Amino acid sequence: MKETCWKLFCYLIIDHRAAQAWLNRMAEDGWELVHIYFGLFARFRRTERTDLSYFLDWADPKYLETSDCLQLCSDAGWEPVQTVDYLNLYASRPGTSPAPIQTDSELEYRRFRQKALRRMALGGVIAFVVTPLILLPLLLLPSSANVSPQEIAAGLLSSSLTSSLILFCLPFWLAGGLAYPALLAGRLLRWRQAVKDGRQLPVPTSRTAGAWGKLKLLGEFSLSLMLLLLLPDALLNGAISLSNVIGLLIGCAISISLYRDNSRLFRRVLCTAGCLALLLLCILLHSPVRNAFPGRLPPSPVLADTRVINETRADTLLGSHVKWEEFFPRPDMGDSKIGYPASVTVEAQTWVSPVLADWAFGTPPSNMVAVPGRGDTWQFTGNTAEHGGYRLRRGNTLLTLSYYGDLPADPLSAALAWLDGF
Amino acid sequence: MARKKLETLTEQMYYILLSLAGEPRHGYGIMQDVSQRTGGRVNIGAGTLYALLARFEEEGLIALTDTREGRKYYLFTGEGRRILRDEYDRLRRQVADGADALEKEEFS
Repeated sequence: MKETCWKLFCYLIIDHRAAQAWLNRMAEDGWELVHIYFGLFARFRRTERTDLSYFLDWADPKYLETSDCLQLCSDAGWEPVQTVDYLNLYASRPGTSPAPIQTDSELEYRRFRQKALRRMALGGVIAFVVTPLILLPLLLLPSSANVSPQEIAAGLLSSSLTSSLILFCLPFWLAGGLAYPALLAGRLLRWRQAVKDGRQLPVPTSRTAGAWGKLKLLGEFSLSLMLLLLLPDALLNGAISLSNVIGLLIGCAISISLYRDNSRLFRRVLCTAGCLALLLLCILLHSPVRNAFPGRLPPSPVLADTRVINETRADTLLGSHVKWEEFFPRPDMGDSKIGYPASVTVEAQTWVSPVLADWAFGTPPSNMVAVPGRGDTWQFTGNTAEHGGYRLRRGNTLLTLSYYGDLPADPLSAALAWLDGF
Repeated sequence: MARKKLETLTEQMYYILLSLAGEPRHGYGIMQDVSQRTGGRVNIGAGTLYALLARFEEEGLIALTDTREGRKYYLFTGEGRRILRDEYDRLRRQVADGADALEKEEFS
């Protein structure tokens, strides 16, 4: 017979009564809670006890309960197990059958407002202020920079794993962000009614609480995945610069300072280790390690007799993105950075699927004209004869070449040769 | 709101003050006394009791008399006695009114 088992502890904080009922059901089945790891993975062990019960009480995660309160709970027969988010978990001591820790629904409701709701509301307000601040530049960028939202999306999907995931998850996060306050408001109204009627706080059904808990789990999973993707992004795609790391370090320092309790030392150590790992990755990013990953799309020069400069490369699961400039060195100047007065910027994307390539190529903007006799080849001209470029596609690969200055020859045939060679 | 609530005590508040009428008691002592006094009908949770004791102390209805083995002992004050007495009178009137009304109904 198994002596330990693991279960997912996925309940919304406001469904704490459903979580309590679940723990009590587990206890009735002979399982005693050992610990809940990361607020998500509950470890149980077999117990012979038949009098085991649990109580979940609101807690302020920043402050511990006073010793007087813990003493009173202990005298009454409740021993603290651990704190998870805004909840203190208590288990009954063997041989006792204690009354619930909270027996006055009005006081319990007030405790929820003091301990949890204020902080939750503050977090919600911050999220609702910060999210538009992040989204607004993205919404305004297409009109100001004369690029289509499709181009921005294609750029993000081919250049950053983290951004790809954010782009995919954002609608779900926004829907969740709007649904949660609505759910909370609904629960609060029911609680207030129960307080008015002098009843105990209502317990949501296990099915409802379970469904919301699974949605919360999905949200947490996507956020964890986003953090994990930061690592390959840092190594492959230069997603983390020194300034990012400094920002992350400040954020981590604030998070660490919030955990004054020594029993949460593990989280503090984890945060510190995470910061050091990011710092290490940042250093590796600027080392030869980066060159060990050539990527799907190596930046080789399109035009003859040029050198590649200012190269940026990125690879994601969906595609690759590379951008560089080509420099025409003057033979009489040796290795000097002085070159012919012409500059060429090349941007290429390759996609894992033709559907994605179709979508990314899209409809060329109005300032481009199709080159006769050549499929998927478009030309654009600037305000002067010395400014122009091409946009081409072969298979799943797209190439955009733009130039300023007097080039030795029309770059179209070289661009086509580059694409065919690739 | 807190002040207003104390004009009429809840059942749990009433029994806590009642428990502190005779002798100083610590929290768990109050819980046991209330349970015994009511034959187990009224049980006060540890968290509820802790919050109510803190509130009574803040309102001056009870006072800390001693701390032994990490447990705080309380006794009610003159103000606590007055509030308890008011509540007792109110309940007595309530019972008397109820008895009047029910007796009349039974005889009619």
